[in-house]
Amino acid sequence: MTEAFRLERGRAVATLVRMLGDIDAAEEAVQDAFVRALEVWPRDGVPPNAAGWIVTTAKNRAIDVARREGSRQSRYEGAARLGDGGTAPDPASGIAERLDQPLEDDQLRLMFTCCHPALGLESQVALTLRLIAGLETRDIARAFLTPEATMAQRLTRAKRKISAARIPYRVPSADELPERLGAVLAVLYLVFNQGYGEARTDVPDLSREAIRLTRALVTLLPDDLETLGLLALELLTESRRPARFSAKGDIVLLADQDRNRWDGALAAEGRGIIAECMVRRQAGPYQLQAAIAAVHSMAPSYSRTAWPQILALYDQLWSLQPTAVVELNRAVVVAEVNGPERALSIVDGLPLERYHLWHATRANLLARLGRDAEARAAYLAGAELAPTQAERDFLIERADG
Amino acid sequence: MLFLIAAQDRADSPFNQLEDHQQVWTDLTNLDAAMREAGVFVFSRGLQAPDAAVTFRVSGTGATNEQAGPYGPTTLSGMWIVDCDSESEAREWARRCAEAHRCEVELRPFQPHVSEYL
Repeated sequence: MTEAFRLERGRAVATLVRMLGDIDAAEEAVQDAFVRALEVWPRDGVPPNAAGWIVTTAKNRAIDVARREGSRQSRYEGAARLGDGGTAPDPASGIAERLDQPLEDDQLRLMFTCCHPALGLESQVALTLRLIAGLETRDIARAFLTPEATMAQRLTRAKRKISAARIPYRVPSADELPERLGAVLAVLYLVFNQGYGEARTDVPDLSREAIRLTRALVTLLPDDLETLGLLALELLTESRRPARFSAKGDIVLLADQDRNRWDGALAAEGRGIIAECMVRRQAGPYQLQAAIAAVHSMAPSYSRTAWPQILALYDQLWSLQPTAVVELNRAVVVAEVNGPERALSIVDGLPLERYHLWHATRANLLARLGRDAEARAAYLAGAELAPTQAERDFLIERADG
Repeated sequence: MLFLIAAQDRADSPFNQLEDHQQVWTDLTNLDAAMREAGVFVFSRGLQAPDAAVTFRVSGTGATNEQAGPYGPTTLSGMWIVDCDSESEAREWARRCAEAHRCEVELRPFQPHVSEYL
């Protein structure tokens, strides 16, 4: 029941937020409806439209509360509008008209609220996982190695900020959309990566959540190429996960992964999506990263990868996102196309001394050039900065090997 | 001899009729590799859609006027530059470009740089 419960709760909360105009009230009402379901369903059986039952019950519950608290409680004033049952479409946006799934429409609205720029990135991520994915606070806390109380506080503060700053529950207008959508995609990708770096199985699978939410976003914005690009990137990256950790839980680098263990179905889906995106010739950063992952996914081995193709994609990515981290990743490809010496001269010029992967990349290039003592020092410097134990262990092992 | 092979994006080209383009991307990747192997490869890249273009016009007084959009109606969608020993060799590569991309291409030789005359 938990999985279905979570998904339905996410949808129901989004609908109730639209009706009530208040996140806490919506969460309470939906929680009460589920408690009621646990009492009634075992006795009377699960109703045919369980999701609709939850929303109706939560709505009635909210009306009850609003009546009981009367005019003293202005925060439930939205409940007065419950009778009309619907919402005015956002006239500024063409999106609302394309939606035939009203529940998901509500979730999209709420997603933009959760990822509003007035909230910090950490709050955006936490709210999205709580309200859209329907995760429990303690599970979100565990995934981010944060005490539950801290996470609960972060959520409470973020919700307070939404009502204090009067952040609206709506899909942004067409002229705001690209920028606001960028924030939503950034949050989803961060959630995905948080899960991807994780070998533990005792925490919720955030990568899967991110894919599910990105898929939902794609059904709502089917023509947005960067949203499609992000979905393809997530699918192609996720396809490599079965080969990413050894049986002992150690990291296995792309070069050393057993490609037979890659998930061919996920990769094929990702490739199919990105192949059609590229036809439109409006490549953005997510599409380009997905295209790079697609080229990797087709290579029979690391050495037989179409490196010049990947380098061309990195050049294009760099022209859109001229950051030191993109240049570092590009340098790894330069090593395959033009040799480690050329790559090292690029890496040495990057201001990334605080980034463990800068040291790890340097170390690898130095080792390939036979400069073993320098390579060892660089591996150890990287280990000192590594954010996870798995990465620390990996780099120390390389230094000793 | 340097040659430009320019891909032309036309609504009626087989490329634009395909539902699944994965084989095209694979074939183009393999074609690049074949060009490198043959030692004729200089450059290849697709172009973003024409609405990404910016046009710079100069007036009689030499002043430059910048405006968004392509210079005029255009079907140019990407290019290869190859360095071949003969025109017949370049024609052969252009034919392979058209087949891999499933679209029309135009082959045009470069002329020597002006500095080479002087």
